[in-house]
Amino acid sequence: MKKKVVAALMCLTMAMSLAACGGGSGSSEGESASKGDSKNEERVVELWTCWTDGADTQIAGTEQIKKFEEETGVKVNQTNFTYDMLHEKILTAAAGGNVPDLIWGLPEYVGEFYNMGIVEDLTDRFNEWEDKDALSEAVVKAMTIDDKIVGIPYEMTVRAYLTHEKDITAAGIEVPKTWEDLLAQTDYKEKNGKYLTELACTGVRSAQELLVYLAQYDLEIASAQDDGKYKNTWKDNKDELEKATKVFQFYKDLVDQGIIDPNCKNWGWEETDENFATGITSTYVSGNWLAERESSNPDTMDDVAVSAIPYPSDGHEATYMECKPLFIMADSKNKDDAFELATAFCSKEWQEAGFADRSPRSDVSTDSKWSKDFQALSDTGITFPPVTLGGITQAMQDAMAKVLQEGETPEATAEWLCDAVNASLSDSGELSE
Amino acid sequence: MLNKRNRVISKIVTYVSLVFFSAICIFPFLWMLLSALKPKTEIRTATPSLLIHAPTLENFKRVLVDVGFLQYIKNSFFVSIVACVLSMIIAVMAGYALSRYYKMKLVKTSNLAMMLSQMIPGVLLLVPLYLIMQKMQILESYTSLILAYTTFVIPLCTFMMSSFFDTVPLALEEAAEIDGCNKAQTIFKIILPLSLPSLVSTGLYAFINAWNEFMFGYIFISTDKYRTLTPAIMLFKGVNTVDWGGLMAGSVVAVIPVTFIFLFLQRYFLAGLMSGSVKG
Amino acid sequence: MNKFKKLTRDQRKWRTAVIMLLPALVFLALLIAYPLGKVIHDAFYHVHLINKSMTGFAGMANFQKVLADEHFGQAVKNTAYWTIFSVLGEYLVGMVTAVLLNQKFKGRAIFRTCIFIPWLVPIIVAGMTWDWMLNPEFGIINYALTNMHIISQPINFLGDSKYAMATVIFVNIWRSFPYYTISFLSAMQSIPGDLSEAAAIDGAGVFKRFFKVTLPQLRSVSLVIVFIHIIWTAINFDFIWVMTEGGPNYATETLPLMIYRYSMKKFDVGAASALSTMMFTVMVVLFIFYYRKRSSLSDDMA
Repeated sequence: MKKKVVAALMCLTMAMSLAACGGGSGSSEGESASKGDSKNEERVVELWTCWTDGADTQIAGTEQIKKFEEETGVKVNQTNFTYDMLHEKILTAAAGGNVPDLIWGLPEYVGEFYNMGIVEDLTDRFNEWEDKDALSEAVVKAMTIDDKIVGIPYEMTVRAYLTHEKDITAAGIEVPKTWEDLLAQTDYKEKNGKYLTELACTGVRSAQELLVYLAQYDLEIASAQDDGKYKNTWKDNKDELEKATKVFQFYKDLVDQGIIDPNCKNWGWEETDENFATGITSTYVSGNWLAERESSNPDTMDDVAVSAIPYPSDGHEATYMECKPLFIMADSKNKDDAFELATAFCSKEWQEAGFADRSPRSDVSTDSKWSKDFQALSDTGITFPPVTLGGITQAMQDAMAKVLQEGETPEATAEWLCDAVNASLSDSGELSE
Repeated sequence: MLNKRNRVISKIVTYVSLVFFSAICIFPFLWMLLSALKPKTEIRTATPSLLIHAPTLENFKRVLVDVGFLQYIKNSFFVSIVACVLSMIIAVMAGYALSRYYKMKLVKTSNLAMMLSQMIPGVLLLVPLYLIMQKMQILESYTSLILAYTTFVIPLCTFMMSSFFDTVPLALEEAAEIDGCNKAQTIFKIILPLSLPSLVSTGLYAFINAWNEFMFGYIFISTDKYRTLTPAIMLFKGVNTVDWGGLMAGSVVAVIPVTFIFLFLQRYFLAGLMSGSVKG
Repeated sequence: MNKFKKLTRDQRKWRTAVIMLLPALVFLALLIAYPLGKVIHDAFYHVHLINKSMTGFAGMANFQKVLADEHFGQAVKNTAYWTIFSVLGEYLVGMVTAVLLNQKFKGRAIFRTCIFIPWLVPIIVAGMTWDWMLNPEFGIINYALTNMHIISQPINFLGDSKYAMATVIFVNIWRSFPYYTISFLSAMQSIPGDLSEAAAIDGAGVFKRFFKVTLPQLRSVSLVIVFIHIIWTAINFDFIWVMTEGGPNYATETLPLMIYRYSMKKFDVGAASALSTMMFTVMVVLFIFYYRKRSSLSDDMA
């Protein structure tokens, strides 16, 4: 009896694995045959996206892709990932040269992918594209590295200082405009039972926030040098080091004086956005995706006002501009159609349907505060320098930990960060000598 | 009298401690289930609550209908079952060799090789494995996942089986051999029936390992057609917002089938106990 | 069949052993040998995904770089803590629950299922759910503890370096111990019942019976799962990554996370491979120790 069962199981496995093998090789043959073979009638673009299922962007995207397929006769094979998954897949797949044609990217990938040599130079195609004037100079600059355009933007957002108006009115204060205004609110928590504002201290968000506060003093985390390479120059320039010190002093003061929850040291965007959306904190620097929280947290999100990010009184306004590029992979076999699709993403129609609040196009916007009020800030937008950022953003996080957790002095931290950034640039071969 | 009182006390201790352990074990799962039943406006609030004001199946509907989890469940089942059966067959064979011929050089070397294979962090294996799969032309197929999952559970399954075979007296086999059984017959007729509890726990391990694996699942597979459950669940974690309702509903959907499998297999653990177990 | 009989006993044994091992070895050779070779090779070469000027033989440079990393010492210490306390906790809880469940009483099946559930939850999901429940601002655990006045202030379990390591170890134990339970349970089922009964009739108490009868029977199975779990816990990546990403400020950074950072964040595959090679070497040494122990155990059995 037992023997029969085992024998049957064995047969079953064999059959199953054979079937699986058959199915597997069959499908991969099919794919390699269809992948942009010019003799083959069917033109295919392999597209990887990172949208949220069920969100407007996805609904509009699916519709627009269908339309694109009908108009051009190109078949679009779209698959969805999260950015983390997509990033890791690209890094893995690039080694084997087995990549899709067109992918959604983050600005952080520009330097990295360019230096790895896996994205296509789109400069010529871009210059021939009739719709290119709809993009502002800042947007085009964000797509450019080494004077080459490597991406077509599909989404652009800036950060703003969001405030719960009810909280601010109840506390009887003005919306803080400067660092000094923020730091003056030492008794806010005591009076109102919640913290005035918050900081992200881990993940990419933390580095983006730090970048803004540095930019308010015109500091760059890595500046372009004459030889086309990059360097953090703080230690070469006493004035810059002093300003960087002030930024870290600001972080330290925010926590020391109880303006920010001391628990913030392990927070990433998951916590900070959540705290703001649920009304646990009164104000926060974030992006217009929080509009989505109006429906999930209607009680706490109905009073949000949008203002400029507080800046030091001896500095100026600045904000982080996140301009997301579509990359065409260098190993793609169907770059022409991939470029068609990329520009379709950036077309007025598609942008209005799927990215109305966060379009890189100057001619697409809505009347809501999430669009208008944010766009008003985009002139002061800054971006990361186009270098390999993995080591640099890590160093920025570590610097915050040094100030907020290890009790390092702001000045020593600024010096440490300067060295750490240059060490990372040197590792990736981008350090100016 | 004393004996009886002792027994009552021991029973109480047993129940109390089991309730304690069970509560800790099951609470996170309950939290998942509750969250999955909460509407969007209740799921993430400043004051967490175990009560739901307006329970909804919205999240489950989204997961099963809109996102197409049924296909992912099917994929996960197929991959896990094949990987499980395949690795059991291999592990029973290798485990037997490891247990009975442990003095042979070849066996010692294989044992070493299996152990070594466990010691490289998976993160570092991703790129080389990807390249192998690509060369074999099995990316984007069930085969790549089945091969990977099988390979990574073979060592533990083998060790588990071999350590069980260690406890089966040689005399049993010798008797069978005298009766004229060959090796295959001995294993199927004498040893395997004895090892049912071990077989089940080892097989369950192989199955669940494949069911819950995440990294290979998303590196090897790029199309919806072959996507398995865990990578699909992670898609609810967007770039700026997390769809907690979908994530929790997806997790519940992933956990429930394996729970039923476990419930069903319990019988076989009990079987050993009921029959008063093996007598050497 | 005829040919088979002509072989000597030893040859026949060898043949059987080869046939039995072949499938396992084919799989390992196919999918492990090459990657392992590549890791060891890369450890001695400059391999960088971005900096194309870094090529050629590196000698020990990668090893030196890793050893000089300011987080290396901390990561080694963390890995040791993480591994030892996780496995110890899993073993103890697994043993206790297995003994509890190995009795005859009503409702046993329900308890067994409850206790087994954590192991059915994918690591990633388990990590994220705990992360949420443990959050100091909107997590249910802190909310419950403060409301019941067990603690006066919410504890930032994963964000305070005092608690972070203990918390991830706790969650890891929660997720992993059921496998010990089930393994012990199924091993206990094959302990001859009369052995324990005989001991009970002889007047041996619960504890004495456990130490004299049950524990020795579990020795073989314990050695295997403890050892394999030591390896797995040591090289585990996703648990800590999902919960803390090694934070706060490297308080939970273990060697696999460092390897990940080197290869996927800094793109320095050479350094990542060197670190893996070092970990690998240490584990091989541990293995030799284990192997001797296991061989002698098998000798005892025979």
